[in-house]
Amino acid sequence: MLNFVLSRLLQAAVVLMLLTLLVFSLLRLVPGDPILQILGPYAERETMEEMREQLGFNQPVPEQYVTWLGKVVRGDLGESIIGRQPVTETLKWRIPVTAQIALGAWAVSMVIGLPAGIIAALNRNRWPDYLSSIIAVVGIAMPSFWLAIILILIFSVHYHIVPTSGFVSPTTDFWRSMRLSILPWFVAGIGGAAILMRQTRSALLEVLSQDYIRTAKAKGLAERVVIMRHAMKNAMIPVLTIVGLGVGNLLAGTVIVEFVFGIPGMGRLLIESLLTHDYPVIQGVVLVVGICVVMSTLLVDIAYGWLDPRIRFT
Amino acid sequence: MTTIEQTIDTAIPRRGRSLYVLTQLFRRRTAFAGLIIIAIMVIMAVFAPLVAPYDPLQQDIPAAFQMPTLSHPLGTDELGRDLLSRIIYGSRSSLEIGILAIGIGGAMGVVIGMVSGYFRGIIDSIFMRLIETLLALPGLLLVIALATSLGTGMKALIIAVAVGSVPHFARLIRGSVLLTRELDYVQAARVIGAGDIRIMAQHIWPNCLQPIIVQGTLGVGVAILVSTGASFIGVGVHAPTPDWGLMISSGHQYVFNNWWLSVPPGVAIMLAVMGFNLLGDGLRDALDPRLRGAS
Repeated sequence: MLNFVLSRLLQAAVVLMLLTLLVFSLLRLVPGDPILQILGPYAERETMEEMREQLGFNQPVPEQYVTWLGKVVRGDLGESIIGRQPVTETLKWRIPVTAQIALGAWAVSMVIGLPAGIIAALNRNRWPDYLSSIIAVVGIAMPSFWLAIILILIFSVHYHIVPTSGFVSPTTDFWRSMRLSILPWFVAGIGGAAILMRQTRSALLEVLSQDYIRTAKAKGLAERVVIMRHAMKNAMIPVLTIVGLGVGNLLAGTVIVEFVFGIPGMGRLLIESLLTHDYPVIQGVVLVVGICVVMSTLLVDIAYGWLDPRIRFT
Repeated sequence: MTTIEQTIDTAIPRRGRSLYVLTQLFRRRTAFAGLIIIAIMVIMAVFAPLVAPYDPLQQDIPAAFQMPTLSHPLGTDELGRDLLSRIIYGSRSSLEIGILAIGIGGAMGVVIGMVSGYFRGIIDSIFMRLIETLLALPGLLLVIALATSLGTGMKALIIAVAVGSVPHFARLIRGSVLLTRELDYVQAARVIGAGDIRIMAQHIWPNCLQPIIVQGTLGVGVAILVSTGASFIGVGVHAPTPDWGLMISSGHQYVFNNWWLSVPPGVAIMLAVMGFNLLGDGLRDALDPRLRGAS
């Protein structure tokens, strides 16, 4: 088990290094020049060169990467070339914002997706099954940016139930923060809920057709006990994959949500920094997202062994 | 997968197999609905100049922000352009991006997956780390980052979506190849002296075709969703090209007083994605006898 975790951590480190190297190289191929963004289009050539040297952009790309990596290992992600703030400081402030949206969306997808999947499986080919299947098909196909606009139109513009956009930390004003977060949570979570519902339904249906479930029923166990104690644990294995691998999609979903609702999270930061060619910030965000995705995949693998002891760690 | 292939092989003569799959597909109402939606979308895209009532780029400022009327069934936008015509023409960019991106990404993924699964060893390790690297930056984030790096616009978006789809195809094909390469008939081909390319092309490739068809169909839906999202954010298709994502984005500023600007393009995206998803699911069921009857 320890060997498995260690080797996977090593693999994760390699993947993260490759990811940052890929982004680092790609950014240097971008047609725009960040120096122009800072100094403006009328800057003198000498000033531009001076700035380029000051920021280390005149060095060969591999050397720039090694310097950056050396700093990252020491916990220094560099300084934003536009805002002149340390990237770690900016991220320290942005990560909790994205985390609040992502965790809320995750909760929404679990609260809607899991029960809907279970109800659909237990009522196979009856109306609850058809209804949840239709909702899932629509939920997966619906563009989240469009859903966000529609919900704002209905709940903010027409009924004035929630504010249209913005973000307030729960520590500043808890109720306003919750009112501002409800729509973003729902929009970012509904796609995940649809996928989770479909996965739960098919996993549970497969488990319910197994012999050991028939045995459990035959020995007189209550339906609830059969489902909760015998079926759910095995049905949860494929569902867990979706939940774990969904972390990436959840983070991707928050980008759109942050964009539409004007939430100052990491996704918005990434778009802003991509458009202004703010290399250090882009690299910082990519690294954080990469760590989240890689770690969630690792956690899913470890959880497999806990849920199903037949799976050996190799 | 092979047992399924063999089941079909023994049950139906080779010549009638396509017909059989088609019959299975038409029997599923949801898959048929998907097929109809896609057919309408393709007709809209191909015959746009004949179907659309107006030129999608023709501006008519005095007629701006008109609600849906008989002359403009879906209303007009902030520049007085007919929204129905723009939606009809918008199907072109969505289909173009979806099909081209999945074609390119699928081809790249198939080659990587095939080589990786067939040769294994160091090549497999290198390719798989690369695939994991691409997967570490999820869907839309990867597409946004790549499209911006490549200078935005339609071409950049197609390449970005294509690269984003590579890992899914590569992993799928690698899995299929790993299973197939150990089968007796492949070993037999090797024993009688068939080369690697011949084995891959003639003996392994046919076994990978079914998952590719399914993944390709579902992939076009995802590609439409992701590309319209990128255009909405501003890193995809440029104005004034009629594009559903872009239409929602430009309508977003005025939507509070003019709901019709953003609602119809969103419905168009949803229907298109749904069409490909329903057809993809139907194809998977029709191609896999184990799933027949279990919807």
